[in-house]
Amino acid sequence: MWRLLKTEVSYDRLRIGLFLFFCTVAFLTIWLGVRWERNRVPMTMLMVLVLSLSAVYAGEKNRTTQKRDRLHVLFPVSLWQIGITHLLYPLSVLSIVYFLLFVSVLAARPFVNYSLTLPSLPHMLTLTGLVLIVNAVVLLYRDLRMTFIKKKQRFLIFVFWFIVYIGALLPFYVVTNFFGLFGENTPAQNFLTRLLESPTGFMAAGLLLSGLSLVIFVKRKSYADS
Amino acid sequence: MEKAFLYKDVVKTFPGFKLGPLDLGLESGTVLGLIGPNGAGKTTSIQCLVGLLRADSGEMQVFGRPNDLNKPQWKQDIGYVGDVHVFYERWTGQQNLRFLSQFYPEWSDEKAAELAKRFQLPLDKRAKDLSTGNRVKLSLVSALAHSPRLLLLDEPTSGIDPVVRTEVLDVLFEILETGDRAIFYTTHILPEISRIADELAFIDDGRIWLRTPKEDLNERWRKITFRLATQNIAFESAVSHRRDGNDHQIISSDFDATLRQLQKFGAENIRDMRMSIEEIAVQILKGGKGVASA
Repeated sequence: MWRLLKTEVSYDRLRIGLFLFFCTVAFLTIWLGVRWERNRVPMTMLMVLVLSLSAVYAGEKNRTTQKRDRLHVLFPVSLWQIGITHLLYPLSVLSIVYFLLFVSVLAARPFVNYSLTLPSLPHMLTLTGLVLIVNAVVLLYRDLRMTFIKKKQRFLIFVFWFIVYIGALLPFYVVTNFFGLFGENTPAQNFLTRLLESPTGFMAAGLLLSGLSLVIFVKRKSYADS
Repeated sequence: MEKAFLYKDVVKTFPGFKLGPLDLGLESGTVLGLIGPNGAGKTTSIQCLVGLLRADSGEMQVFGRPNDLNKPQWKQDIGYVGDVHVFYERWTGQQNLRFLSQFYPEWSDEKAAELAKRFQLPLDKRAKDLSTGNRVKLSLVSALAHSPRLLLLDEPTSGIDPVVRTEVLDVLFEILETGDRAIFYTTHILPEISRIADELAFIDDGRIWLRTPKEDLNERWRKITFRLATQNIAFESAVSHRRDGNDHQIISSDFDATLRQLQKFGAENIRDMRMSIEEIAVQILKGGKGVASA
């Protein structure tokens, strides 16, 4: 499993490097180059979320297009281990981003005349939960299509996926409001803020969906086409 | 003798297609060629065995171990080359081989290098820049470098030129010389299979209609010409029958039985010709189940 994960990260190192470069540019722009009266952490976290999701999605799409599951399934490695690799990949990418974030904050501090704070642990856990949710939904959609191959079944899966993706817009709304990025708090925003003050919900949903995606991967009827 | 692989009542269904129930086994040191038209079930059979497809029911074993995808030690014994050649595309052939070597304790870098040299495979090129023929060669090197006891080849030479195809077959012959390796080879390129296989199985519409040693086919199947005035005789084991006046031509799937019958009817000028495996296979595939059981 670790060999697979190491290989996947190593294979994507150029892509990950480019992604980290964009993150660095984004961080420095937010902290050093933008006139902004509010706390800059929310904008930073929003950027981390958007860029992480792009990187994770691109990595996943690339793996599917190149049929790497088909390759891995032939190795003497269990399906559970391959499936866990799919979940550890985005977490590895996110860990690198968090590391970069911390280093960048420490590096930028001497150059700003305001209090540049690090994101808190609950913030990071909430973001991790969101990334896990989106990653799991992408995996679930792909893996369910490999098991349910009839047209009607695939249509239903698409409808499910579409609804979930519309729902996935919610986290962006939530993140922007949770961190107080835009506007005054409305009752709805207050409700969401209370919901999110503890990252438990997002982490729990992320882990639950990840677990489900793992089971669906292991039960897939075909590994020949992705 | 230990079976290299075994299918027991294996069934796999897709919309509009059903494979099986499939019962098939192969002993070590044997080459079994699976012959059938496109869509007959050749690829599905092999993909079920290697775990790329999950069978609906039935059991499969490799050297006595069930092909459980979560207890994957049995995969150490397998080398598989499919019709699709998957690599890390931005990596060179050498990098891909290095990656694969981590998963097989029996992997030999020397053997991989030797095979690559034998195939004149440019290992310094990225996988995505390799020609179709070179991708096949890289797949073969990947499948052979850990010296698997069972080699599963699913139309490995489709889409490559005759020169490369001959090279591939030459290497397979060399492997066979080393002893107890089993090879399961599917193809619709008949001259290939007739060169390499010990036994042939004919598959169509998801079912194996006939399995027989190649030598038996050579012995039993004949093209027979003769003169006979008698009309309307149904010849035993005749797969096809052409008539021009009193001159007849029969293709028989059991030469001895047909000959006895011809002698009984007093046929004259009987001549028989051996048929190539390609000719026989074409007759079997054209005639399907009826021919197989004739």
